[in-house]
Amino acid sequence: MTATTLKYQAARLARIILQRDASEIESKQWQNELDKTELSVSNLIKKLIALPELKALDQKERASRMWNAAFQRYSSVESQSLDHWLGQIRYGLISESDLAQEFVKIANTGYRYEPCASPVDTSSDLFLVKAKNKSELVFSQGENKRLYLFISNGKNWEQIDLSAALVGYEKGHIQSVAVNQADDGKISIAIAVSKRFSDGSSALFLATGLDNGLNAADWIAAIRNMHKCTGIPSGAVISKVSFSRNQNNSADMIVLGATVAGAANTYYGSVEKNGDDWNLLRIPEDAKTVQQYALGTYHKDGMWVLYKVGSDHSLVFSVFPDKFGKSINISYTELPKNCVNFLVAPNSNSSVADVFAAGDEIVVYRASNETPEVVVSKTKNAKLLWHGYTKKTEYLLYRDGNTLSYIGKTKGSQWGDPKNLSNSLANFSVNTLDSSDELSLAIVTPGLGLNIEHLTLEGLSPIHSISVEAVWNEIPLTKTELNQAIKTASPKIYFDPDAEFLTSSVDFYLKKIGLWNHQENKWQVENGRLYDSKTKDLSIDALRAYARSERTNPTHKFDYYMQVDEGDFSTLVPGDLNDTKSYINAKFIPEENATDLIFWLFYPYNGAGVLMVDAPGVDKNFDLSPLGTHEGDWEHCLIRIDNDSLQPTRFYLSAHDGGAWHALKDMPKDMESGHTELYVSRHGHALYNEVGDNLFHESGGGSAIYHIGLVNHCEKGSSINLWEDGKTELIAADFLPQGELTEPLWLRFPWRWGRYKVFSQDEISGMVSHILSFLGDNPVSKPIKKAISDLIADKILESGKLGSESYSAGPGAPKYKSNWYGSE
Amino acid sequence: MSYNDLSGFDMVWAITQNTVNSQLSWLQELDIIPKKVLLGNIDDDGLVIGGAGEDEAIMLATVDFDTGKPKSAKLIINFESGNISFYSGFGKNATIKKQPIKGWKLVFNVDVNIGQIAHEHIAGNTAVPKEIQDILTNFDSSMFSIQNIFLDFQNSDMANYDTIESIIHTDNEFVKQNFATSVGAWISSKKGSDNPYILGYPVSRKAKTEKIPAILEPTGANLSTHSFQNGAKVPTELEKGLSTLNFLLVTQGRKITDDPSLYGPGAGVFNRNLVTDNNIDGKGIISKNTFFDQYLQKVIIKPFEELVDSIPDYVHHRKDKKRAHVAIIERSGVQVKAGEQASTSSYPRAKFIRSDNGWTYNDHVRLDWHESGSTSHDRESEQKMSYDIEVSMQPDAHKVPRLTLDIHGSLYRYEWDQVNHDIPPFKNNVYLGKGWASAMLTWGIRLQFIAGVDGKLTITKQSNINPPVKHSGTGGIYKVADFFTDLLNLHGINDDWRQNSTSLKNIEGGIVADLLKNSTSMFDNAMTKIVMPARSQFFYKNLTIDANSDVEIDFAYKSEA
Repeated sequence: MTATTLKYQAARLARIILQRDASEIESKQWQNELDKTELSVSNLIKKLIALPELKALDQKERASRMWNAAFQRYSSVESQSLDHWLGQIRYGLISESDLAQEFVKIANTGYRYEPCASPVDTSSDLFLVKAKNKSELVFSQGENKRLYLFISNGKNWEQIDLSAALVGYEKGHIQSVAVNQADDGKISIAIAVSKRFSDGSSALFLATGLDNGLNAADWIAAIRNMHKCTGIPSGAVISKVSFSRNQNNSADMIVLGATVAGAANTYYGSVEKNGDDWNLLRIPEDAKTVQQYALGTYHKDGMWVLYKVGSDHSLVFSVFPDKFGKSINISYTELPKNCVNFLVAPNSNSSVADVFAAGDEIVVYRASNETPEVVVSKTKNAKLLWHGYTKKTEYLLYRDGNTLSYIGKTKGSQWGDPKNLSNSLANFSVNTLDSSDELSLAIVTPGLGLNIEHLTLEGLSPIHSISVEAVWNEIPLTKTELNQAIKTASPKIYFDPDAEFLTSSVDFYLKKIGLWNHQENKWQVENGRLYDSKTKDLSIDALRAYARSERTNPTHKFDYYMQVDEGDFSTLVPGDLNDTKSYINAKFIPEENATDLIFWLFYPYNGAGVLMVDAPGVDKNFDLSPLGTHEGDWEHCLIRIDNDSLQPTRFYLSAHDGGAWHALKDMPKDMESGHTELYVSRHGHALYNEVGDNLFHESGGGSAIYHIGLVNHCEKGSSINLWEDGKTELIAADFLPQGELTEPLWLRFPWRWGRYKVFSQDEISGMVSHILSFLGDNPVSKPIKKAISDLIADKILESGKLGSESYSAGPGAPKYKSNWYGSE
Repeated sequence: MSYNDLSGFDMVWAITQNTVNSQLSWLQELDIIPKKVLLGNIDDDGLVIGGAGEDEAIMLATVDFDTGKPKSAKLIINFESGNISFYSGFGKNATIKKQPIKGWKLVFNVDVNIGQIAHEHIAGNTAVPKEIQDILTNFDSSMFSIQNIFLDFQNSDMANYDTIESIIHTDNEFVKQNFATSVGAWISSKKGSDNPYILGYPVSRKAKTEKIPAILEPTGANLSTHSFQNGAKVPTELEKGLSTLNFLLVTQGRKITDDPSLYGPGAGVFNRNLVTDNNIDGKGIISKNTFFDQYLQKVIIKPFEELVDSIPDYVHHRKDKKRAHVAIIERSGVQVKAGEQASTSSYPRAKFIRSDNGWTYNDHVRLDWHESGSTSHDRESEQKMSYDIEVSMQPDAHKVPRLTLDIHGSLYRYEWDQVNHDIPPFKNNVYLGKGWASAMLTWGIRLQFIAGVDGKLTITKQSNINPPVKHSGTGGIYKVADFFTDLLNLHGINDDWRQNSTSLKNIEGGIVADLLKNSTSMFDNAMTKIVMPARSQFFYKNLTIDANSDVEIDFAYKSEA
């Protein structure tokens, strides 16, 4: 039961970073700062990590906790991504103080690289039942709408995803769970589940009489064998399932809150009939006045309903219509003023349950006694939460105003004085213990920790802290599913028939290039030595943290880069369609239940830009050489896969420094294979879904007297079918279990994949005047010339350098681009 | 006493057979009427009905009023589980055989009777559930007497069962007969105040009271049973459940023993089905006489008449004009010859007289006189004061027909003035001119009887007062600035109409306020005097007036929206 309505974000961050539950004062203060936007999430992370109590942590541990906090991930397992970020610090590419912000930015994209959700939640179902080994079982519904069981094997607590055992609903979303334990220890469980990302229509599973001595494996088997209830109205979306209990506290009826065809109703079925026959629960009064209802037994099965009549309340038990179509009603008199709720407490001595009612006082009607007995005489909007008996004591837990309170009545005496219970219970479930006079509580802390504590009239005492492992928000693809999705989604890629610079494998390139030290103007690793022919991967020498220049150095970021030796130009530059493949990074986006496949293509060389000029007297394409040329070129497209159908849904095609999203229907298809077609532009290797002159940085056109733009010309020339064997290589999929995929070393290469070269002013001005000479010198050509100059200036700006000069440089390494972890 | 459709009874509370059976099943659930049957001893009796475990016999007792007789029922015992054990064979070959009795049914024809129960036999009586004991013992024994309606086994033949309707799956005649007789004997073994087969308790006020909230309280009770009839067709199962147990009630100090027709064989025999819908649990029917002549007469008409009588008689309106002629055109409830010249000293006032569905009151008087002088006047002044009270079904704001009480008041005033000039010496009256003016003032109150969501009777009220409807005219030379002021004194009339004792304001604040105040408790007083044997929390669902002008109240255990 949820105890309060506080927000817990700060408490959760604190628990991840500090690895302890924050005190009430701390979490209140930090939450306040977040709420008032005095602190952003990343700044709170930085603030917490700088707390003196964490002084002893090393950089790796600090980074790890920051990463986990950004993703709200509470786990003892270190993130696979951590090495990459520590590497960035080592190479001098990022400083530690920027990590928090970077991590939060990535977390906000929705991509998840490891399980980040909590298997316990502050607002979902939580049940504690007694186990045979004097221990407890905790059932919880996680943030990811899955059902977890925490069970002790005597030494450790195991965390088991029970919902994975629901036949036909293994990946389903739990809608509601009810767990009931009878006096004899037997457990009944009812689970309402829907297929994920479906219309929400529910299946209801029921198991009764389960032994509380089952071990983890037995539990999985028991869930697998659950009875799928029939007779639920078709299309019903169940929002709440609960049990009513009889005299022995065993489950008697199942009650469903369900929406059928848009109408919300309540249905009930008997446990005895296996939940296979259902009745619509007709609340015998104007539903608008109904404040609460509960099913149970008052001699006969029926329901209690608390009505609000004006400012008054009335509590009535109505027997379900009998075989004569009639129902008997029993009214309770002398209800507490401002009655908030009531609680049905089975009475082992009577076929009529006790009924507690709370408001401005708390009273109990014992069995059919019409005059209530006062439990607590003065309360404020009190709300009853739980009632039960230990061997000697009757307990009642309730909320009085904002205070969690409890009261006990030892056998043979009166109710004692109410006591306060800790307020750091974000969610809890209570049960009695057979062996002692204590209550057992499963408590979810505001920071989403899970503790077992025992409660006596003296107060709470901690028993266990159960370790809680983060879980996936949504179940990601397996490697097999991923490979299948890649096969289905892989496109056919066409190159322009006149393209001089084609794609190649990374190996093709690595075999010949070297690592250039720009500071010292020498090979750091000689050409031909960057490739380790034994590992068929980048030589480890390329990954050493070599000395960097000062940050103030204008060419600081070009301290090192891959460089093609002049002698290898002619063999490397054309690429090789026979020795090429696409490298795939798979990223999981749980909110969308989707996996993004990023197909990377490598080109040893990028050709010059092409300018189209259509103006009076000129209609010509100009080669902007050397502008746009550079060694090495990484281009990519993203294909989003639906995790249930494994079919592509959306595409993102990169073009130079940008790109565009396309729907599946807008993608051309290869008639023969049914695969999507993509077209690579002639020099720039931009990807398009249309052939022809795809213009870029356009100006003029329409009614203007001129039309100019950079041309990305695509034609169907030679092609590669990426679905064919060996044409793709999955290089990264962080969501796969650790160890299932080994990243190639070259992915860790932090420097540019081509040389840094400054163009001389002569080269550029020569090229510009060549173009402009075609336009002649007249008033008409003046605006056109300006447009062309602007565009070329743009092209220069695009390459990242202000001023009249520009440079050519290889692309950054794919993994170091922001879209590797983040979004497009 | 003119008998109406309720054959002389003032009220009938008809409870459906389904409701009665539901009550019996609740009594069984409470173990007041035992569910478990364990009868006989194998050695002494040769058979045992029921036992432990699988042998345990569970029965469900119901009644069916389809007997063709007005004070009888079939008691039906359905066996839902268990075994009968008996000896088969003789001597040393005798073995004990068992046979399941699930599905067996025994039907007995029993009289339904009514008897007095003393207060002291109620408290602690195990045949009466605790809650019902509490309700019944709350009635002051000096003011109320309590009766019960019960299955009268003592006067019924429990030794013989209805062989046609009973189902006993055995050819063993010994078993068959002994099974039936043991069950019959067992059921009838509880006698008098120990008999748990009680169908209801009517509570009667011992002495007549004039207190208005007690108008509908029974002062005597009888019963009848009615079998649902569907013309020539055989009633369906559902319709059978609409047979009724009728609580036949008299009020206002009347006793059943006053009139043979109230206790004779034909008492409470109705030639129509009183309840036709299983969505209600029963129906209270208040006879036209009781509703109109007891309830409305006492609550509205009597005080209304007193109020009207307190208004000065118009006959005396021009007392100042000594030679005024008074003509009574109409005076309801008073024999008047047309145009009768009244003696102005004392003349009987008009009375409210019954119409088909209510009352009317009319008082129509014309005065004429001569005012002499050099310019003389011949004057006429006429007034008609009317009140109508009518009960009917009228739609409410949501277009749902409701039992409606309309009260209308109207005042018509006419003034005529002829001016003459006296010309000496003969003082001939020479006609100069004349003027006349009339005004009609009206108001209305509408009360609608509605069963509220809380199941209580609610009366909604709407009232309106209309502006005067005026007419005037002149002939010859007649000049007054404003007829309505000068001739009619309209302001005066209007003020009087708005303020006199029968004005809308005073009727609303007095009679109607009292009616609103008293009606809920009055209806509750009637209903709470019918106590069902298990649970009896009835609620009103709807009120209507039927073709006989009897008022019908649908009720259920709980109102449903």
